Amino acid sequence: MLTKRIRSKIARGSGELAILSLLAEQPLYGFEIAKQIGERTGGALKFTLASLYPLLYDMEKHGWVEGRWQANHAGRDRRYYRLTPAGKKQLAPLKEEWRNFFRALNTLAGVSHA
Amino acid sequence: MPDWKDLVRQRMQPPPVTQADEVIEELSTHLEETYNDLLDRGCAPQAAFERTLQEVDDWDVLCRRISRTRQRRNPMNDRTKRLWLLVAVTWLGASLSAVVLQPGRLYPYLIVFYLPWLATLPLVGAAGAYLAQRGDPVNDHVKRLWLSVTVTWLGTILSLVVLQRIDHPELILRRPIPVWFPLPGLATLILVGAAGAYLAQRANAPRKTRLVVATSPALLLGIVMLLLLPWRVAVDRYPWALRFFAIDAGNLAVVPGLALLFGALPFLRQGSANSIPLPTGDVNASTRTTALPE
Repeated sequence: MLTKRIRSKIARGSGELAILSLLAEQPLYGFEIAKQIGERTGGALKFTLASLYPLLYDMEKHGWVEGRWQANHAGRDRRYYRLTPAGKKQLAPLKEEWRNFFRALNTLAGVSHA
Repeated sequence: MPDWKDLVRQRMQPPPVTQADEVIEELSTHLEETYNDLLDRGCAPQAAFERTLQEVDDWDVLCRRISRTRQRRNPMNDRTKRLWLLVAVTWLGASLSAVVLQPGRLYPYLIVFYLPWLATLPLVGAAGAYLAQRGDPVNDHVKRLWLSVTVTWLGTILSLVVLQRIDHPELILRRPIPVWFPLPGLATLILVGAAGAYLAQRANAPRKTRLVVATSPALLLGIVMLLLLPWRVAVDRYPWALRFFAIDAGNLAVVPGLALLFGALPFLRQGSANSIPLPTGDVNASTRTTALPE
């Protein structure tokens, strides 16, 4: 039970970091977020619809990201997410937390993030 | 081409409470793009359809998770839950301390009201602990906030019980005490209010929380007295119930409340400390599936 909870928190935290980091570069819509995370991590991190949107909506509720409907060049409406100032503020400590986390794991178990 | 919007609408049952159409639109767009992407990569339509459906293992779970996030923000947020826990636990501790230190005599009033009330407090504590368990473990901010509440409560009890020489605290709501509040008592309460608000400020509590922490003993006493008023009038047949209620309310709620507030004022004026929010944690983490299932 505890392990499941920790795993869930780690997965959630890593998902938040991945999304915030991506959106810090440019606004993206859901499918593109999932696709870019998959591609840029070589498939190590993969979002499905079921894992992406609850997290995105939750982050939106916290005010870290903001979604806006916008038409693309083909006239297709998509909901683009962009980072809010609160999200930007959240990103730096989140990165630091993960850095510390990997450093600690590395010290303990020789697990390097590099 | 499958009708993705219709598929999502059928499977999202019940639909999210708010902005259901928007959610359905967004999810169906995602499925459609996943499907098209698979086709572009050479997948056969049927295989692409089946793989697209694998984006969601359990629509009920997804629906619940989305509904939870799309609801208006829970009026009782994590910070409120934690504050409630702090107040409940401190209230329990303070009550037990008062009983242990000043046992008094078992008046019928005490048996009828006070003991059952006391018996419910562990339930209150358990409920508070349960709520806290759903949030993050107690962190430094919460500890500091707890300290501020504890200091305020213990200080107030010290002022009322020791300095005001109330030797039977179980009668504190029944017996009129002198209207004049001795200066040492008032001075202590001002200091207590200041300490409570200062410590709450150090815990990065926003202004409203600092106000509640600093004045919570008087607020709660006032509420309890109001609840007791019908008892005093109807059951106890106290002839001067209303008059004594006014005197008691003045002595135990209004005057101490004002003194606590006065002490807290300097720490309410200063800029809000809530620019550094309390870590909120994911209250539902234990019930959620992992964000990255693969």
